[in-house]
Amino acid sequence: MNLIQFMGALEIGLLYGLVGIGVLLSFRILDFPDLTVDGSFPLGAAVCAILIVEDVNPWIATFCAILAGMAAGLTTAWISVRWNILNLLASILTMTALYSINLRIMGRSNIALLGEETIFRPLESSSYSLLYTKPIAMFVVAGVVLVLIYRFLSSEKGLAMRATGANPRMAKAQGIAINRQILFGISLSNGLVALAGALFAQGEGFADVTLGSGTIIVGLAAVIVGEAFFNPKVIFTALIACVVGSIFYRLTVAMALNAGFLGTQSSDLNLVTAILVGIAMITPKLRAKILDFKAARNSA
Amino acid sequence: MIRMTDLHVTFNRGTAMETKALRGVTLDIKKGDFVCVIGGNGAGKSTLLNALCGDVIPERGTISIDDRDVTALTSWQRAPFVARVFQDPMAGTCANLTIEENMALAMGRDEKRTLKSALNKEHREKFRSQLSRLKLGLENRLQDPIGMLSGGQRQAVSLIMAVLKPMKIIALDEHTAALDPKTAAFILELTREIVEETHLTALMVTHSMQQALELGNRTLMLHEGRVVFDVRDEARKGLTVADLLNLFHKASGLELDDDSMLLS
Amino acid sequence: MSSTKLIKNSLKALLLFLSYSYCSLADSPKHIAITQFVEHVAADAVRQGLIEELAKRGYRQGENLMVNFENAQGNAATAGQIARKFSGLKPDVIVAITTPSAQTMVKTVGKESIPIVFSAVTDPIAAGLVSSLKDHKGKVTGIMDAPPIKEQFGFIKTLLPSAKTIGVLYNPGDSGSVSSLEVIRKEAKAQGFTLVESTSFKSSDIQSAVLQLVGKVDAIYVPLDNMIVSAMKTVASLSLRHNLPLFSADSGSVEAGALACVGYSYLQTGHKTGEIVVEILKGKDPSEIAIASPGKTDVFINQHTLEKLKIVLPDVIRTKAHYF
Repeated sequence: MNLIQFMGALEIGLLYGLVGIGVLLSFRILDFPDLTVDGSFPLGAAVCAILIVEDVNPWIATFCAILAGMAAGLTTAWISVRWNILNLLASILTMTALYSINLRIMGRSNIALLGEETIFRPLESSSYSLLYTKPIAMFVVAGVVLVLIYRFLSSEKGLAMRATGANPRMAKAQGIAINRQILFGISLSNGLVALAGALFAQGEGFADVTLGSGTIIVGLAAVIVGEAFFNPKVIFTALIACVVGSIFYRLTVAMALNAGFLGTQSSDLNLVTAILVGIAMITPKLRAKILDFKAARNSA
Repeated sequence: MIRMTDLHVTFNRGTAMETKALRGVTLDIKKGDFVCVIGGNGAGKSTLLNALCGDVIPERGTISIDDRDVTALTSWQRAPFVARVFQDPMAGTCANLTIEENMALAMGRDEKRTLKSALNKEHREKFRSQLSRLKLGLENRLQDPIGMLSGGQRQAVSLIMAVLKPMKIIALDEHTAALDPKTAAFILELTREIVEETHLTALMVTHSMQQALELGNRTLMLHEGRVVFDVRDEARKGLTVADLLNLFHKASGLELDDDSMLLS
Repeated sequence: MSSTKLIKNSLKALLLFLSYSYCSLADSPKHIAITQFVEHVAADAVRQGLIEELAKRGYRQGENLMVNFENAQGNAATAGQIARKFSGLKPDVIVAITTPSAQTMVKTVGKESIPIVFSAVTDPIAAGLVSSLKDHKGKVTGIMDAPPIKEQFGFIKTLLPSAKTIGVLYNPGDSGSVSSLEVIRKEAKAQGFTLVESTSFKSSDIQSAVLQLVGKVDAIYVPLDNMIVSAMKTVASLSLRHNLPLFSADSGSVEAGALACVGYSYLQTGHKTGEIVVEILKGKDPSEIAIASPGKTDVFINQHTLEKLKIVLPDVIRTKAHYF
């Protein structure tokens, strides 16, 4: 692997770490499998791109992208909560609708941001090499998001959200309006994913309707690989775990791209992902089995 | 304090499995009453409690708490003044959250939750002092996930959680049924102490006639969704299980054939 | 050694040395890196054409040409990682097939370092790859395959000599369609056609948009419009039912039932791309290479639709067309 690939894996890994945090919020904390992210990632990219091309300030464009993502998440949650439709199905509805909505927003299937004013412009004009500045910028963004989400989840409101996913009945008995928690939580989750989409479009130079496919898989991979590594017991570790998991996933992809000697081609990348996530899921169980074995041996 | 007027609750209305769980229950519970509710399976005891807490909405009748009509309020809207301990220790706590996090949740029951940190030094001090009365060593394990505790320990914490903040009513739904006899006795004693200290109005559903006579000041028996008898204070003192059976027979014309109620 | 022998030997040695150096110069292996965005027959055909053309011009894989190929599997993030890999590999030429791969390549590698040749990109200026088609600065060039509208309307004239009015079906929200409309209007007029435009804002309007043209036009033309093309089966069967010949701008639509299309074959696109790559390998500056179209056009015809419409193909078309 060359240095450019390594820094690229870090940069893209940190960006998708935001997706990981979003999936952690929905899938783990709220116990709400949410496929909307496959639509809200390109939604963020689309909204941001079309606004930038219309000469809107890129920071405002990015902020609007977050709002759009939150609206998408709110829609899914509302369909699920208000009409009592299974959360997974509600999310598929929104995700499917978003494909057409994204096309409409962009007016075409692809918008180029090469040469446009993006939030990375100051980095591009600076004298420091983009090879380092972009990953550092992503690190800062991921760090800020991580701290904000952590502060939220440790607050009274955040604890109420965690209870909603952990035990809805008990949460209700503690005075928590669980429907409102779900609406806000899924909204927040998709807002984060849309932010990632907006950053991706500005960082990679284009927004495309196909940007979203596989987002949920990458998010889940980040969460699961992170859990296998860190075995998090507190929420702070869980948040860090999914960002690290995302980076690790990208590094694995980079290594797979280089492992020509193994005979792997990029068409095998899906297989590589599946194997990686599979290993991550089995590792905690193996760990438990080994501990059991050791304990049995000690007592015998 | 609690006034229930002509409560009717029906499940699965219009289907083949239609069940009339409550058929016109009217109750007046005074402030400070400690009511034990007994009855056979399907008598409607749990439904009565669920209706009080808001988990179940009656199709007819009203409930008012402290002269306020709460019939239309959801369970989370009633939670600020109704504390609840469930039968299943797992249902009453969040296994993945720590002891202190569970207790912090209970702290938030009676007021609007903010973005302030849920746990701070004061909270932890309070939790520790409350938990130490249990003499289970839990005050030193605040950061353990509550799922690591045994059922009895979790019920004990649930009881403490119920009264962390001033409440009007405490609803106990067969909360010792899932415990072994020794632990059940411990929890029952704890319940008696706590209700005495806080002067809460308590409604306890129990499956044991013996318990129903030993605790509280009032015993209520339900059968097929109706109140069959209701004895309190002086009238209740000195009653035995046999007396209860007689009362049941007189009121309903039936023999009670639920062994588990008699033997426990 | 006698002097003649010495001279002979020296000359031999010199000749050997010269020929050896010449061979090494000619044989120093070139390195190209190819990426495509999706696993798709079309993109694969472009790559195939590229490799064929390179081999024809003396650059053969395994002999004097090293080829890296990575497929992004439709995933933009993977395309980004591939771009970074190629950036580090520093090949002599990078070939990026289809727009998203080309965009991420240009963003990562930049316009001034490794020569980038894009292929099968419909509108390189809109995609931000180059500023203009002829006098573009920088090391990015390539083959664009915007539909040959002039040839398409010429073909309609040849096939339907008595046709006077053509209906154009498109979605006004599709900026690609809207921008091509100018060219469409010009070329239709050049062929003496009157144009009737019928718009459809959402998929549910497509049927009525087609029906609006029935009885008013002699044929229907559909540009490269995302929404209409994805509903092509419906449009095609509806047109057929009303005996209206339907012409498209892409061969995929012909497969879905449209009567015919004049387009570039992807293999041809690949060959043309190969020509550009060879020029760069031989030392030409990419900024001096204008962005070109694949040149040769092919005719694609749907057999079933042709028979149903009872149209007779002129010999010159019949023998050279590609049939679905």
